[in-house]
Amino acid sequence: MRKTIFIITIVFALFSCAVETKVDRGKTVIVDYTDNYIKMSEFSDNYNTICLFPSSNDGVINKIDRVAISDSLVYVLDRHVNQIMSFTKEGKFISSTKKYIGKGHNEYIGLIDAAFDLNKGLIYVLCDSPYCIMVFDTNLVLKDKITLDFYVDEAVVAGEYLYCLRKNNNDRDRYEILKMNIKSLGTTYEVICSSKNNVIGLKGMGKSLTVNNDTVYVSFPFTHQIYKIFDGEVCSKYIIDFGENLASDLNKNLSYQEFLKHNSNKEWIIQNITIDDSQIYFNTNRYYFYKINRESNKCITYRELINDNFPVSSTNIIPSQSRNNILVLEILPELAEKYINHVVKNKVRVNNNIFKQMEECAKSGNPMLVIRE
Amino acid sequence: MSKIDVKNVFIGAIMIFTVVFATYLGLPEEQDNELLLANVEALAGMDVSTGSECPGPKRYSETGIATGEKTVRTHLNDSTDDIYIYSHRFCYADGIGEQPGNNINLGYEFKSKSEGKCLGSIYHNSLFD
Repeated sequence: MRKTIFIITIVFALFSCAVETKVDRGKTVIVDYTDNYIKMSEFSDNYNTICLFPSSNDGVINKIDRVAISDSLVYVLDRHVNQIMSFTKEGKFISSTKKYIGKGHNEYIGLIDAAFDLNKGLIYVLCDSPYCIMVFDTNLVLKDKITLDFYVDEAVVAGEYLYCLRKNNNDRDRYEILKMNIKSLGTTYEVICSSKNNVIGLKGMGKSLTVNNDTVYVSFPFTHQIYKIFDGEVCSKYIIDFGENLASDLNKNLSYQEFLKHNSNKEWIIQNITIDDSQIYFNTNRYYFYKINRESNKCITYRELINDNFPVSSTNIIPSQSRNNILVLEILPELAEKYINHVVKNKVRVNNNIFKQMEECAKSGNPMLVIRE
Repeated sequence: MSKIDVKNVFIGAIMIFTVVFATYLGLPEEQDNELLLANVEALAGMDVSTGSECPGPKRYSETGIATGEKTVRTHLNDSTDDIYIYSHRFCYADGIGEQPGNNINLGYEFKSKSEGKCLGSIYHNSLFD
């Protein structure tokens, strides 16, 4: 009898642990498609703009892939020019990783993504051919280089871990999230969740991985879930119910041509996730702007995000790291220039301050950041 | 084996099954802890592109297209704006390869047009004219 009680007690204790660590099965969020637009002023008046000025021979931006913002600097990652660049909050160019481009020792050929741990003053830069993580300080001076034996698509830092999104080298249809302890990068890693959905040869324009308040959010491409990861473990997820707008055949390994034939107007990727205390914002492969109310778990789509403080707008969220609760958008210099030309040509009366900012943006040739704090 | 032993084994088996089942339920739906070693060389030599319109060299691990959509609002008159939807595509190439073939802009493709109420402050939101 004693034995029985002992066994039951032990098993009960184990069972309790299993329940405690059990992952939330997910909150279903039903997407309500509207034909409306939303004005930025409807959810915040508190925004800053930063016009990013290049120097005479550096700091030219082609397309912003990620930004990170510290108390004093703005970092821009641009895969097209293969660099990370830093600017002051006033937009003055400070430094870049340009001098590390090359085939030599401690140089990189292709830059993929970067994880910014600005509280600790470190930037983990993912590089291609050969695969490695180059660790820079906040002055963009190389501190360390760690070789990897696999390609990593995206990365963020939260707490003690570097979280990486990759496709498994031996199973290219499988996307995985790895966690690596930042004190022992490259030596060991653990796959914490994965997805078998894929369409080879197809990608979205944005990023799938983000971090806010040490919590990581990821949505695997070709899925409709947003996973929440804290302290190295998946702790919950949102299941986004796109209804009939969700793409079909997400796990059938179709060629992308075949896939797009049936799904070009459907949703197949969630990206550029941005979190604040009450809302989750994201884009997909379509043009909509999505806003989830975290309390009610309701998602509303807007066909446009109108920046009512500026004469031009963009619905595309710029993936950002390292500052909590911010939403970053951009104004392209081409549009700023068109606006300036229009105002001058037609002698339109406009707000002088706005006009000046647009003029600076057009002159700089770089996108202007619009940052909602 | 005594009756008590049989009973203990039976209870133990049920409990172990319960633990295994509870642990299974506790796993994320798509979790996979299988750690597979990379084979970079094999990957570098492999072309998994699928007849893409992107002319990426075959040395890339993977080539394909990245795509997204964009709305464009253009002022029509005092009461109306035109709203266009375009899709945008560019070539990507991941893995080992030379730079040509990567990031080739395939341009914008018109998808649809509708009219919206003029927003006043919006003069121009177009890259396409």
